[in-house]
Amino acid sequence: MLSCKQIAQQASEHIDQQLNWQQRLAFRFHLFICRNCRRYINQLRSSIGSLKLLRTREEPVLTDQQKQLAEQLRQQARKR
Amino acid sequence: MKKNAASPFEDEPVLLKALLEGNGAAFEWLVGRYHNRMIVIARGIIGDAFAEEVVQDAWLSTMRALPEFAGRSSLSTWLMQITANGAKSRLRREKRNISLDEGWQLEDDDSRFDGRQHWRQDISQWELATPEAIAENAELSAIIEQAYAQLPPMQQAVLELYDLQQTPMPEICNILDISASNARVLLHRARSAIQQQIANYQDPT
Repeated sequence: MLSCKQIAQQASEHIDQQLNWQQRLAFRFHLFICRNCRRYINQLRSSIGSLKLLRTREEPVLTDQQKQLAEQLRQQARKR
Repeated sequence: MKKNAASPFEDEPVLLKALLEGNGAAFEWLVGRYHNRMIVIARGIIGDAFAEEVVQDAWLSTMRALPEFAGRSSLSTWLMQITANGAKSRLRREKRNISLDEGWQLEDDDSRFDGRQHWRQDISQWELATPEAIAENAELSAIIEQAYAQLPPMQQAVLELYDLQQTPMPEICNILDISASNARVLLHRARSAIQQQIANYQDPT
């Protein structure tokens, strides 16, 4: 029987489907009986999801330095 | 940060063509999209001190090679690879002057668990439970951005590549020169750190 700590340690591998079928079975069994771990896994999934969402939603605004870099690169590419 | 209206440069052939034509907007888009990501990769490999310089060099060498690049791999892969190679060769040269945080392999005392390896405190149901609900909340979005920015460099690099750029694990190991098991551990720590910060906000008890 896996402990909650082991579940937490394997959580990412579970989410990324890296566990073999035996591990997966043991993992699912623990989740079935443990509400805390079920919530933890859901929270971890949502955390990853929200980070991805924030990244796709927002486009960074360039700093002046980055604008200069872009112009420098344009000049550089032009020399070719 | 501003809301993203889908740019025509999302389409790589369109972007490459515009770059080769010397289109200023295309260069700004390119730098906006990739500069910080390249910094993350460089910092993971070589640390803070030389990351900016490494990325500058990587940009210049990619621009020199741009006409020959012609979409052989994805632009993102190519940029990350060149950045990583630059950082690694710089690391070899500067070895004596760099102290990287190598402590990330250790650590196993997790205070979230009791002696029987159960959760010390019950995990509460988040009120904002879905990614959409979390990302809608401005305060929480800022907390997530901050948690990401404060990750140790290697954790940040793995999270960036795996979760945000969908780079396959073998390629990540190759880019960052780490084993698959280390990459997995780093990824999980990074994700847990983000989860922890969101949890602290949603359930401050």
